[in-house]
Amino acid sequence: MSIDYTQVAFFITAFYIIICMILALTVEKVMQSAYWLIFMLVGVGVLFLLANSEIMFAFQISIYGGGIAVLFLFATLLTEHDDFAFPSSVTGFVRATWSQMLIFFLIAFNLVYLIWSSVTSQDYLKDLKADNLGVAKLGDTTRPVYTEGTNIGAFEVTKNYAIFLWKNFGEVIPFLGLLLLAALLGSIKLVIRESEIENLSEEVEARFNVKEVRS
Amino acid sequence: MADNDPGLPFDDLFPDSLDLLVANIEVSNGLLIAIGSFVFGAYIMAMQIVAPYFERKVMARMQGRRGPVYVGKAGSLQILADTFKLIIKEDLRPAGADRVGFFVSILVITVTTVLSFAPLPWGSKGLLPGNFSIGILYVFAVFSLFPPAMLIGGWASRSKYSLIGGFRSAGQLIAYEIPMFISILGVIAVVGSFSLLEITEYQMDHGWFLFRFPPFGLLAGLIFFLAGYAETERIPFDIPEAEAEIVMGPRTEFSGYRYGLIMFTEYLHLFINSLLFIYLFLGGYDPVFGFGRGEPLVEFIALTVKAFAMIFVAAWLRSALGRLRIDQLLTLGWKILLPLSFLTLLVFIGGKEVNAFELWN
Repeated sequence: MSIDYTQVAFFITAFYIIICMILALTVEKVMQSAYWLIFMLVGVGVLFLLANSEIMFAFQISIYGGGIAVLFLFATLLTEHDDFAFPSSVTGFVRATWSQMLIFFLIAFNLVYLIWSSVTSQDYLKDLKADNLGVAKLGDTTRPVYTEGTNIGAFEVTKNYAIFLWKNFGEVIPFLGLLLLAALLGSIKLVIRESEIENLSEEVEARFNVKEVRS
Repeated sequence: MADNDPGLPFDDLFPDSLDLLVANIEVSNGLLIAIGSFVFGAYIMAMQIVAPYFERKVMARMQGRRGPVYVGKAGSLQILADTFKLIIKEDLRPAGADRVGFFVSILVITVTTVLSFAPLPWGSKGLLPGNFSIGILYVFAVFSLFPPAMLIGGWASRSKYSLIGGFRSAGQLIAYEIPMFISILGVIAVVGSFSLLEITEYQMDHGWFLFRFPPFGLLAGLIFFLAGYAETERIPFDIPEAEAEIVMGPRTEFSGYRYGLIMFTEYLHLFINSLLFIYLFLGGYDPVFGFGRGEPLVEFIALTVKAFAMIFVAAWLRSALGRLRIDQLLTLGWKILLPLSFLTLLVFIGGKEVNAFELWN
């Protein structure tokens, strides 16, 4: 029996991503959470490479693994936050975040329902059988990686991705934006603190007119 | 190995011996690629022993010193001795350091730097570890993992010098990555490919990019060189590790083999930035005056000689210049290099659209 190494690599990468994701959610310090998230985003980039889409790989790594990651780290280090932001007990966690969790689960159920209904629809199954979706091209490992003149295969695969996603999951993608919004609100709640301005020197108090702020 | 596979790497390096091998043993393409990658990996590692020695000797001569003299003939084994010493030293971790961050930052820094060598061609006839269709884009993608790794390393060391150095490093790397990439967009637009192999082949037919479109080719090259040099964090751009202020920046708390790896990646960075400059503006493996063009060995030697010429320039700058202030550094990056890089991009694209290349030269 021959082994499909791409598939083995896929399962290893997927396992790595899940481990990083769990660690990002469960570690104690915010900074540790940020770097596990970055490692997860890099893992997603590797998945794109395994699916033969080098362009998506390059942008995932450079934008999410590089640019956004530095933004996360700068924001974490330059804002005032508790190192131990997450409540230690489960009940404490639920009490602190019930509103966000409610929104998250509503959106998550909606997403699952939409994807499930798209994937199980008769049109989709018919298209899949006739291979009209370009799915076969997505995982086509025989495509030459080497450049042949102007015929760059990677662009073709990336185009197929876009068509595949927007054709079949068009109503799902806007909800992902909502999910990110919920994450953003959660992160703001995480870093927001009442600033303490009691222990300032007289010079600083005079400069920033602290008395007026206090009153 | 199949005969109908023209794009195979290392196919024409040793044609006779390869044919003999193929006649007797069935060699899979994967194995051949692995052997080739190992050979080039060994070459690059060996260069990291030679390059620091070369640089130290050049710098010493410029400053009226003799450089390393004791270990080996004329001090030639000094770098090997240093490496050996660093490997066998005790591995120390500061109290209170973040265990994972301290370990992983070094891992990411080293691995990404080594990985960025993958799409570099070493000769015209398939002397190529991995020809990604995205070529140069891949190198930049891998490079962009460097600033967060530096910041994580700085934070994880639990030292104020490391943290300040990490901030400076990330800020500097981001400030110079943008003009660096924009300055080469013109080259990519003119060639119409990300592949370093095709960019080099284009320059073989149409002339080196440094001398195209005078003076804008030269300007783009200068921007790329300065930005790339700033990415290596060496004098005069060594603000992240300004030793008089913050000891050694994000590298302060790393010792033993970790310090060795950091120094190793520093020279790898210098090497890869020199190579990228050569591929994009100095005709890559194209030998000077077209002598021996198409001969893999001549091209390979030409590339190595060009790389060492770039390292000579780097050593020259290092021994001649003083450190910039941080505001001067950021001003140079954001206010001077970035607008100029946009200008060169406009000229390159405009020149391509109106086909001014033939008229201009």
